[in-house]
Amino acid sequence: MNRRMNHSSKLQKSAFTRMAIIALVGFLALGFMTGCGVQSIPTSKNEVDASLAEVMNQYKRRSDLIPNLVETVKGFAKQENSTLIGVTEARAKATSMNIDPSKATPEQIEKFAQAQGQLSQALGKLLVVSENYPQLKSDANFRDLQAQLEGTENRITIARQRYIESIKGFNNLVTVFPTSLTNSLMFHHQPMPQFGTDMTEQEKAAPAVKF
Amino acid sequence: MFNFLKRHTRVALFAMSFAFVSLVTVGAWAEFVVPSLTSPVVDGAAVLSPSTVAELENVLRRIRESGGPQINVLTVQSLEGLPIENASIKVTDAWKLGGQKADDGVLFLISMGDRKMRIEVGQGLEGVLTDAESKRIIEDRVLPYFRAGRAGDGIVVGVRSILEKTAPDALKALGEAPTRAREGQAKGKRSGGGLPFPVLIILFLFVMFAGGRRGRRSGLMGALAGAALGSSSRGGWSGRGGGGGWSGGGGGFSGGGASGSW
Repeated sequence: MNRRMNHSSKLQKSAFTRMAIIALVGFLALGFMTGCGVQSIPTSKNEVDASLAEVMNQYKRRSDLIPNLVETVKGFAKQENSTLIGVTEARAKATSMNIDPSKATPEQIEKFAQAQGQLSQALGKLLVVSENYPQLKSDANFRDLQAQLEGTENRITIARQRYIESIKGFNNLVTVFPTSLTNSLMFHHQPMPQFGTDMTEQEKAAPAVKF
Repeated sequence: MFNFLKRHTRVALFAMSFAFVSLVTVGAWAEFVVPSLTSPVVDGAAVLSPSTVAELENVLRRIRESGGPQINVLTVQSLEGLPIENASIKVTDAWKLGGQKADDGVLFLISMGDRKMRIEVGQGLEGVLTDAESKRIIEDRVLPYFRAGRAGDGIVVGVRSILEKTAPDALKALGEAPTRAREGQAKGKRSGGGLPFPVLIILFLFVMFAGGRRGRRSGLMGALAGAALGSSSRGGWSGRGGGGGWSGGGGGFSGGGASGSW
């Protein structure tokens, strides 16, 4: 009888241990899912893609404003033909680059950024030139276009800041322990090159869109 | 011995004063810090008279409560060297004015020391309050007042112009100029909270009881609790999130709007 009791308590103990192990594994798995990058790395990648799409969206918004702007300036300042052609050509070049945000290579993104930077320069030139035409400057249509352009440039700045931030977050996940471990086991993402430092140099040289 | 101690204290005093001075200097170089969102008019630069603040807040609160946009005025003395576009996006990123889905917030930021202002428009309102409209409001309607040294009037005109674009119906319902009598009415109404008091108590107990058993308020219960608590606490300024609270509703901004200087 004594033996039997011993046996049953052993049985109970082993059942308890098994349950404890299962619970522990469950907890570990949960911790792994939430803390180790299984969720956060893909989420962060999606965020990077979305913020790149937003950058491109805002650049497109700027491109859409330009034909109207060129037409308006033409109405008052025909002799500035070369500047106007410069803007139109830079725009054509910038809009010819269509990239898919989720599949874009760093080279593609850099080329895109360069083309947009050239457009920024051409636009800056146009706005400097337009300062010489008081009639143009007081034209209501031109003023509205200029306000829209200013707003869009600001949106571009913010979209780019957010893109840079999202890359930073993504790179942190991919390169910093413990999420880096998950990345090397499961996702094999490379850290992304930071965005557009060349371009900011170019833009520094370009005249600001302010009046 | 005494002398030694004294010298020590002198050194300590010197070190402490040095630390204090450097702290103060760092403080003077501080970057622009976003003030906390306490009410629809955060008049950090003390530009507005108390009665104007009350009037503006009353209007802005009521428009928000009736489902309109969340419009916030912020005056500061200095941007600490930050461009106003950066400062205003910093504020809207922190305040998250407007609803999470509607993104219907507007920030009217004025820096008195920098002589600059900006209307920052939430994503959901960019269609009705375009960059061009914002620019026109600033240049044609607000700045003339500021140039004449009537900043307070300029802010009132600015808020009204923003409302004309973003909440024309609500503005019409309020009438052109909200008066003090109306303000009193609104206050009486608000403390009543729409529901009779016993009903509120029963609702509150019910929600607490249900919440205790579930461990966490959620869904309908949370919404009910939020509604009950929200309407019984006077003067709460929050976005249209179900849970009450004192912050914006999660509205997004992407840099739309316009700036101006005087």
